[in-house]
Amino acid sequence: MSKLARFLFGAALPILGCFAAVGLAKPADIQLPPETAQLRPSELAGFVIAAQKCSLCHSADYINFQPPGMTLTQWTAEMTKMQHTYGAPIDDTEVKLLGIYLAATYGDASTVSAADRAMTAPSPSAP
Amino acid sequence: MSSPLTRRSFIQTAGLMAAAAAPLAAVADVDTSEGVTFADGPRPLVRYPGKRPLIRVTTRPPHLETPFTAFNEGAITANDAFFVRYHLANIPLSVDLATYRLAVTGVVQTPLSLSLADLKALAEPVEVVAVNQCSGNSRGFFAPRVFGAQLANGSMGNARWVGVPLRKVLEQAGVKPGAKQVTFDGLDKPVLPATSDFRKALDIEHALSEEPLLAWSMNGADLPFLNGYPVKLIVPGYFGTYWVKHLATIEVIDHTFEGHDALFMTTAYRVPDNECQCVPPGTPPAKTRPISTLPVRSFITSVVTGATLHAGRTIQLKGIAFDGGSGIAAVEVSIDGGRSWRAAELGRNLGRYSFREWHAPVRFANKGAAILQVRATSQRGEVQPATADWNPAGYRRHVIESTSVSIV
Repeated sequence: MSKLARFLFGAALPILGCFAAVGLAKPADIQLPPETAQLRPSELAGFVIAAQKCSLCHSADYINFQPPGMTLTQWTAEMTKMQHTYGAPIDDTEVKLLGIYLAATYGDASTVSAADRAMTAPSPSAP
Repeated sequence: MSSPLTRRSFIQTAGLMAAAAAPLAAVADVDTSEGVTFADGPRPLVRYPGKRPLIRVTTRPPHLETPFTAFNEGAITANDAFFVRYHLANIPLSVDLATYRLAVTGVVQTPLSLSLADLKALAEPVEVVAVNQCSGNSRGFFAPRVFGAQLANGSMGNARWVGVPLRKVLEQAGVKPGAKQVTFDGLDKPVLPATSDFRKALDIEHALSEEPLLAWSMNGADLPFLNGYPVKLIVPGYFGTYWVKHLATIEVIDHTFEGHDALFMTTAYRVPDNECQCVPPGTPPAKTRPISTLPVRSFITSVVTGATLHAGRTIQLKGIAFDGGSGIAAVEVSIDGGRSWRAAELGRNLGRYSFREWHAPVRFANKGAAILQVRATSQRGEVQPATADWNPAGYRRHVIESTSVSIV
């Protein structure tokens, strides 16, 4: 049976009015506002990783609007959660580098040591 | 923070400006923190399709919070004020009713593929007024703080939902013996295959009870697109995580939901498996279970923190209270930081799952700082606690709320 025939002769004749409205209705669609949130820039290696990988699945305001003052341990645990629980394509080194960038830039920077800040990615990793 | 009047007029002005300007433009500077601090705030007020200016929680996936002043407009939250929350960025931007179908599959006698018209004709429509509240509503007030959307108190809303009982659809399909749970999947999908889909499960007994509804109407209009058009699962008394939007597939299963796409049941949206659903702050729970029903809560809506009120004059304090479905038995207010309490008068009863409005005349004898509080008691005897409990995910905050004001 064609779609039109189903509209006209379907089992739900008592609400033919609704069917007619459906038949004539255009698809409902929406347009979302542009994405403007940006990560805080940093010299730390994790900044580039965040820009490349975190942004695959979510906007930067996911990070910007977290609580202030979270520690390196907390931010790193959050990256581990992203890796293991939500399937973020980041390896263990990237988890560490992201944790360092996020704690130093958005969190309690005093929990990030000079050695942490000096840590760099071993080689450019493909996204 | 500015006074309530100032804030309200700010928001009204912002709304007018947004209406006059481009429909999707960001709205001018307004204090949208509502008492929450952020690593890099403030959160902008933004305008989305079908919505008045709402507070942006995140852009992609869209997550928008209702400015708290909206709750002073009445017991029903307007469709254009209602909060928006997605988990996965691959969301539908278009729904064509000519091709939209709701599939009912799994351990059933007859799998179904229903158009919206089929669904509307399947049974006599019923209506319920019910609160949809995010599990993480008020997460921004947790101490110690926890990761996640740093919500103030605006990730809740109360609406009149019309649809057909889920039970009728399941009966039409014919649930086979051995059915254990029913899963629900919407049109939103993860960006990466490695990420779990957003699917929720209800036990078969709950799914076949009177309460859950497949709704297409909200406050007398089609569901706003961003609230789940064309069909949303309504689970009265349960947190919003179960209220699946853009519902596309209902599957009856003969086991407890598990696997790659069950993450939002098996890992996320879980609370400590004990009576208080809480743990000592900063500690991990030994065992967890899926979050379920709403604890009793109440808010003052007519006065916000930072307001200035006059001594020696009687004012009507106004607000809302709700619980997980027993209904509100009593609301009390305190204007001395909880030392003494007096009964508020309850407003019209729109049903046991609804916001219940309340009001109470209060008069301040002395000038200076004052703390206003409200506490509700449910019909089943649950009372809001004076101190907040804690869980690692920042769910189901329900402590007695305090509003600090200046009396002049």
